[in-house]
Amino acid sequence: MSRAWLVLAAVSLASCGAHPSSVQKADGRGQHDVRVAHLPPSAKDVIDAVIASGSVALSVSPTCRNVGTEPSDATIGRYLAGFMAELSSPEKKNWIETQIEPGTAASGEPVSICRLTLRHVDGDDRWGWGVQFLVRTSDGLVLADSFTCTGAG
Amino acid sequence: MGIITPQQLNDYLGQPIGRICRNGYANDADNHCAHFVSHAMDYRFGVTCLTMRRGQSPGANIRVHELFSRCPSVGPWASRPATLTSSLVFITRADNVNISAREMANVPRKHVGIYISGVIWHYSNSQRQVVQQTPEQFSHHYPSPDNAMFYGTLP
Repeated sequence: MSRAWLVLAAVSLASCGAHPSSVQKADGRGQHDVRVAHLPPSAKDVIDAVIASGSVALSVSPTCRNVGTEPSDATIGRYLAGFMAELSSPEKKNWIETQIEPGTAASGEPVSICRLTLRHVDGDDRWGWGVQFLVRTSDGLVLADSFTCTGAG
Repeated sequence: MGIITPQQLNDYLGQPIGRICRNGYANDADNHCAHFVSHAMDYRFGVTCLTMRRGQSPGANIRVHELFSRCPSVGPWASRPATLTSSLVFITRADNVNISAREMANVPRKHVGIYISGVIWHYSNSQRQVVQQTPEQFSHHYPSPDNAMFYGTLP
């Protein structure tokens, strides 16, 4: 499974444009533009967008402060990888939840509000951690500075 | 708020999070242990239920590691001061905690409850309600090695 994710990530990153935006990656370089394949985005598009946005720094939102499973985690990708690594047992209940709904950005632009949640249930070991972000309706651009980290527990 | 009485906590026994959180952040697939503690203690700092969902009531913190770092003093459960009759109680793998830095990593298996004079009130996500246990019972919330217990003085 990890190999499939790596392939997906590589393909997604290769297909992204190289236009820098105002959002910084953890390495200090600009975050490349990411666009979804369909509007409104499909579940697959949401997952693809998250993979392609893996280098977005956790400093993007106060909701992402210290959300990594290790204190050194600095990116959305590293944060989600930490929880994905907990989905390895075939005896537990795990699933990926996606939600897409229409909305409006703070700028007034129409957007799709997208959410991806990694879920795990094993008795009281129960959680759902993920991200929410906006996709601009006019051109399918993933608004990198809109990422927030969701989850409780 | 600072302190709560056992009688007040007993009023929560058997209640699902949907009756405790007036903001409607009550998906049973989410983990509500910190969420319950924060509503009971009125902890409104950090990421709250209101951050996650629009609502009309004050938001309560929903993350265990944020509660841990807000405790003025933390330590291993076995080392808690004898005079400490009220505290938060945490359970997770010992490696996930840096006591001197008052930091807990955001690992999946971590849990929190409210301790008063020998009794712990906490939210059982599997039972979907607030329950009451002794510290010994609470120590089995997760299997070893994820069951190291820590105290935190009340934020």
